[in-house]
Amino acid sequence: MIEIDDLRITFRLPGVDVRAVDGVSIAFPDSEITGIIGESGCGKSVLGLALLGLLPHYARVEGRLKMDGEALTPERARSRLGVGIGLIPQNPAESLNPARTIAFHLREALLPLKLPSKDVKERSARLLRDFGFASPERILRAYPHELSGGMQQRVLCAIGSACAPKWMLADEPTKGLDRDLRDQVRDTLRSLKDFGVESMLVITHDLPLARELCDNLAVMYAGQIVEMGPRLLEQPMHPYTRAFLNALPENGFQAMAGVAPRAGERLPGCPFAPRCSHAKPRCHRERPSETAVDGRIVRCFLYA
Amino acid sequence: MRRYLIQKVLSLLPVLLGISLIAFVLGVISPGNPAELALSRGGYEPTPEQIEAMERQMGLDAPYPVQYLRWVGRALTGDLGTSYASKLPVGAELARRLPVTLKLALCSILLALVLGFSMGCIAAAFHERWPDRVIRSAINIQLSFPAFWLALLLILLFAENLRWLPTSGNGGLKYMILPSLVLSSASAATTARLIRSALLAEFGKQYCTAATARGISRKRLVLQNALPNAAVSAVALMGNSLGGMLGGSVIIESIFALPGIGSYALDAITNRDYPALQGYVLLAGCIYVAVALLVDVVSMLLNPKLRLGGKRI
Repeated sequence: MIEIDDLRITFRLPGVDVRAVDGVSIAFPDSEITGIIGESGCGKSVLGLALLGLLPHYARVEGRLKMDGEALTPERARSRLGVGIGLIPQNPAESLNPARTIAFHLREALLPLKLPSKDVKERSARLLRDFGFASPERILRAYPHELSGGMQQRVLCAIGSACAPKWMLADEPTKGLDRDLRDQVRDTLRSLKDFGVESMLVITHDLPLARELCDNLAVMYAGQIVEMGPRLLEQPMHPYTRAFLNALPENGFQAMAGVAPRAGERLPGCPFAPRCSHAKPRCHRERPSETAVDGRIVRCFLYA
Repeated sequence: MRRYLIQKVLSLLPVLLGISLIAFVLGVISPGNPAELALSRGGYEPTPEQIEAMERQMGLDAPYPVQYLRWVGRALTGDLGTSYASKLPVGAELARRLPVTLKLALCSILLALVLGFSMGCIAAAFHERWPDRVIRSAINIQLSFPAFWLALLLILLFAENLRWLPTSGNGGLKYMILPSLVLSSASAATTARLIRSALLAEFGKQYCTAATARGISRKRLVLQNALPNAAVSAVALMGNSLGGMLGGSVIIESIFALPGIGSYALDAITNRDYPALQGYVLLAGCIYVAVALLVDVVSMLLNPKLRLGGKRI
């Protein structure tokens, strides 16, 4: 289980402090696929980087991160990379080293296992076969630019699960993919459980993917998790989630009024209050805290 | 790949043509009549008839294009004319001196490569920490030091005071240490600076984040992942540096009394020895073009997209 307690991540830029994650307290349960959804810039990728210990040095991290009961310092997070938590990065084409073969990537991913070199090759080929490549030897010799986008994505899944990490973080796995590829990626992610990955975090703004793949969903807005729970898209509770769903083409394309707070802008009350049709004076003054309602956590005074 | 190579070679032909034209024009616009110069050594004053006869004999009465073609034809067979100063064939003299210059350039380029790459990698790996700051200051000092002054200071320190190395002359590798150190100093600094900034740019790319997420060491990230991509631009720079080293070796060779083509060119300039200078310009130009071709081939080998063409699996 990954537990996060009052996590605040601030980027100290010249002249301005940008708080990308603003007081997130949440637990990602074991053996479940949890989706984190939200618009660009809401802090979901930064949250992911914090779990990997890969935040840039000018980021200030406050609050507590715990994995399986142990405090997850950046050093410990980095020491568990690949073994304890794997990453399926976004933009497959840019996530593979253009000057290196696929064999090199897999060899590197298998390094923590300290296998003899003969077994490395065998294991690499088996990984590729597991992820649907019929002739892995040819793929191993190939360079990333020789593969199609879908193949690159599957190679990245193979790399991420090479050491069978207990946790997997998939960062926008379907970004920029067409429908067929998207379904392929969804099935590949589902199949990860067969290769030793127990629990998964999927950062995405692909709502159909989130609905089809995830057991649990967390909605992020302006650095906060405003709502979390199962079947969240079917019965949204937080006004932001509702407005978010209404903006989808299939729900009538109703654009949300106003704009999200700018980077570096901090409101004293609920960050969604200026755009919220249910906002009361209190919403502009005070921050709502997480409230548990019907097996769900909502951060809104409507349910407090 | 073969097609790419043929294209490259063909594109270099006009450059070679230009170099030969410049070298030829250098002879034409030089003051003094070559026929008169050839006859008037040793205080003898030739008569106009003698000069005219000599001009016919040397082919100087023909129109310039014909002279140019004859000159190129002779140059292709290795005949670059006779030096005014020494009365010896220029081609043979250059051939005798070329190995010294090549040895110096090779030592310098290797030194620049090793120093530049290691400094750049260390600086990038320790970005904004003390090794980076030290290396960046070193780069600035190296770039602002004139080569001839550095040469004199190094001679003072290592040859005069410490007596570790010879002051000048040609011999084993020991004689190459100081000259190549001086000659490579500026290129090593530019290479280091380029490698550093190229590596930092690569670190910001997604594939480096993905590589780090595989749990690899920092050293592996720098050397195995980012460097092959960052090296492409440095290799192109090295080609240019080698050209600069050939030019720079003119001064270094004369300071360290190395009998290379650089010191030959310097003598040719002071003696107004135009055939010798023509020969030097032609040779140095051809070397430069050959290096450019080599750099293109190496960059292509470093970049699998170029090497393999657009084929997909």
